[in-house]
Amino acid sequence: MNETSKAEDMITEQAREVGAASIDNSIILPGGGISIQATADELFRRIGPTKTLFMRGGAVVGIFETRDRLELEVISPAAARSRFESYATFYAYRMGGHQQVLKPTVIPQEMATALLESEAARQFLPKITGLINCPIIVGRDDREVVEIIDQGFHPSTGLFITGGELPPNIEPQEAGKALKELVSEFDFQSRGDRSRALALFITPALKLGGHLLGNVPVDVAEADKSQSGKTFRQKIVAAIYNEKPSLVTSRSGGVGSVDESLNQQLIAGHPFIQLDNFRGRLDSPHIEALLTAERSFSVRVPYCREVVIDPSRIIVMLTSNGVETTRDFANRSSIVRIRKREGHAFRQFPEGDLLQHVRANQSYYLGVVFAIVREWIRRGRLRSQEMRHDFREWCQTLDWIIQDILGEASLMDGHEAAQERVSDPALTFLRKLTLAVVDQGRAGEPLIASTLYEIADAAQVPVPGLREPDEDKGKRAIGMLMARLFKTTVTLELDGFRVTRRESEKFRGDGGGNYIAKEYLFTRLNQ
Amino acid sequence: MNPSLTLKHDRYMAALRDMPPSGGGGCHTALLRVANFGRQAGLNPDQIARDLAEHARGTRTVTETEIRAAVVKAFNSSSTVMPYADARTARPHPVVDGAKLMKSIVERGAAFTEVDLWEASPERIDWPPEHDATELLQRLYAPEDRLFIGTRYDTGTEHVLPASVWIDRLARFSAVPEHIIPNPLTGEQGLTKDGKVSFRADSCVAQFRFAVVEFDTMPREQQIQFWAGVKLPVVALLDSGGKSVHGWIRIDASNTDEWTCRVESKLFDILTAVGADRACKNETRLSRMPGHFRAEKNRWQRLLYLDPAGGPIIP
Repeated sequence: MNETSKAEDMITEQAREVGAASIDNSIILPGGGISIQATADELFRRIGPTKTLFMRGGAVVGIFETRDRLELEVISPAAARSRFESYATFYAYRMGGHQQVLKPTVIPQEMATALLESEAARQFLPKITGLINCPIIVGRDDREVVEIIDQGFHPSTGLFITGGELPPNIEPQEAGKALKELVSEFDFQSRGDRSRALALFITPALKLGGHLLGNVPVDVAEADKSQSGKTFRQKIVAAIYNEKPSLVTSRSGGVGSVDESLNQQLIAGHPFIQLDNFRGRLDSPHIEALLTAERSFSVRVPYCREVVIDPSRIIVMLTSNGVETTRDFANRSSIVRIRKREGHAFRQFPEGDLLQHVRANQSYYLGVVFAIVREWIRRGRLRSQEMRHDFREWCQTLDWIIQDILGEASLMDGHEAAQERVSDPALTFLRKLTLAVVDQGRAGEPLIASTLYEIADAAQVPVPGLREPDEDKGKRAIGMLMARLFKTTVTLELDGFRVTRRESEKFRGDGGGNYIAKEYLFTRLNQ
Repeated sequence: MNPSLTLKHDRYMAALRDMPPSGGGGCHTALLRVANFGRQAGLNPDQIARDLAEHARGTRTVTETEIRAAVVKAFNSSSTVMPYADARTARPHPVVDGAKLMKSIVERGAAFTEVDLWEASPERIDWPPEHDATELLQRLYAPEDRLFIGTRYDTGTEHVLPASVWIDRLARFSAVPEHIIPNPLTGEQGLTKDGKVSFRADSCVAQFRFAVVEFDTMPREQQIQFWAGVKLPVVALLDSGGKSVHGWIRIDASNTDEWTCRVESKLFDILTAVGADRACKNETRLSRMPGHFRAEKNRWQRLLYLDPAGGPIIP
């Protein structure tokens, strides 16, 4: 016999229904024959249906308003003491004469801890996976039917939709055109980069709506120079979903490290997390684990219990002017390279720049993305045969959408080379050095290792293996690095440039005969 | 005597000395409290009973039976502080307006007569009243469930038999006895609240399956409307052969503490408010046995409704 069919509960409920039983909101705290479990049962049975407190990875969380948005926050025992009082008035049995009587009381902190950790909290509180500030498009069992869900908590996805208007219905053709307009002024390194940029507008809708079950890659935005628009592009992605990226700051180690900053944002529950303007080498097993975790990922921040989050609702973004990372991270990335358009004046809209325009018309652009998702579903949720990325489901689905609905280049064109480069410190150095050479007007000029060191030193490009500036050691380090890179080839192409190595016999002025000099020529590919 | 027991003994002696007078002073309640202290001090029941008898004073005579009942309760309860601690809920009991509740229940079942109950019965009662007993036993009990069936004053072991034996006996030749205890018993001896040995004491209950509910003064027609309109897991309704309709309610408590908490406290608090007889609250309450012919009234005690799973008659 289950709880609801107990005779005493049934008739009590009937009495309540007809207004024959006093309805009060009192709950008796443990002691005097009341177990912690009984109190927890009563408390969380009442809180559950209000959908104001939730379970998230073993912790009780609430939704709090910060300066400009709502966030999830783990309820501490101290906070729970007063928070619980908004759901019930608490009493405890006390001895009054020869019998126990109920007296009003407050919840001791130790008791609040016990209640927060109770089984009843897990049983009766809805499980939340995250927050999102716009409607999402979810699939239904019948494969062609989709549903757009808006504000409120949705048990099927575990998402709490905190805001946003229902988007308009848009024809797929118009949607494709509008989406391409968003990237029309960016100077992408290749057509593949443009395809990946377009794909990353659609990816969150597919992921948050549960259409992609596997992992999605980190949106890595890389530019040749600062102020080229890489962060701007990612802000537009978030703006379509009525969100702003949650910033993870780059600090190394200890309190306030990248991992800790990331954990704080993960606990807050927002879907877009941005590691902005990363410098130096990104080597975080924690982030790599996040990107490959299936349904649970443990995070903790100081003075707070560990929380297991669902990483499938998180979109990670990273921007840098020269990404240097591990092979594993590169395999979990979707790299979009853009070049700065020197002297280009970006289009202005009545609302301001492109980002302000998207924010002002967020509902329309969400409708654009949904139209493409709907079209993909209508055409049978097809996938291409693309195999050049570890996250196959994402890569094949988006490759099909990009080529067959948007008519753009293959998603993975040029991507393997980019992955190779960001995960190889020598190639990353060569890219930075190439940009410095071009910057300093030395392109097309044969340059030897010592000249390259001077150029790197002037541009503050760190030479791998060199701890402090030293001309002699620096040119040798560059010489060794180049020797490794050009061991089997005389030309290397990377990110729109070609570096050619040639050897020539030089005469020693000191009478010591000739020697073989190695020179490097940097040229722009499209020149 | 160890220091702890000395302290408890002192507390017992102090409680004895301070026992309030009988006749409205709270003596009856104090008997159990003092008996509890005596038990905790390591004293035997006889000693405590003698001490209580010596210290009881006041305008009302405190009988030996009353004292013995307090001592037996002190020694039989699992905890002298809170006998049903595990089953106690953290929700204060609601205050029920019995008249209002009764009115709404009767209104809900207003369309029901005895015929409607028969029609609504999940088990079609299409046998004559003399077969009620065997049909009921077959549908509600396992063959090995030991049941008391007899008269009000029968207490012997020969009246507590497995259901299969009763079915066989009643089917073949026996007249159906007047009463049954709906809850299966252990078949072993236990102590009554008065401290007497019995095979049908509360301590003899093996399974806390059903509660019996009946009304003393309510007209029969209204009782039928009550049963039709109430939201309770009704298992059986029986015509007592007199003016009453007895209801068997499914409880399925796991032990005596749970029974005390759920039935004696919560359920009967509400049922008493709507006019049910509070005396029915104990787990060995006698109910009328269907299939018995009441010669003095020239009427059958018979089944009106039967739902072995138990549920509200109007869903």
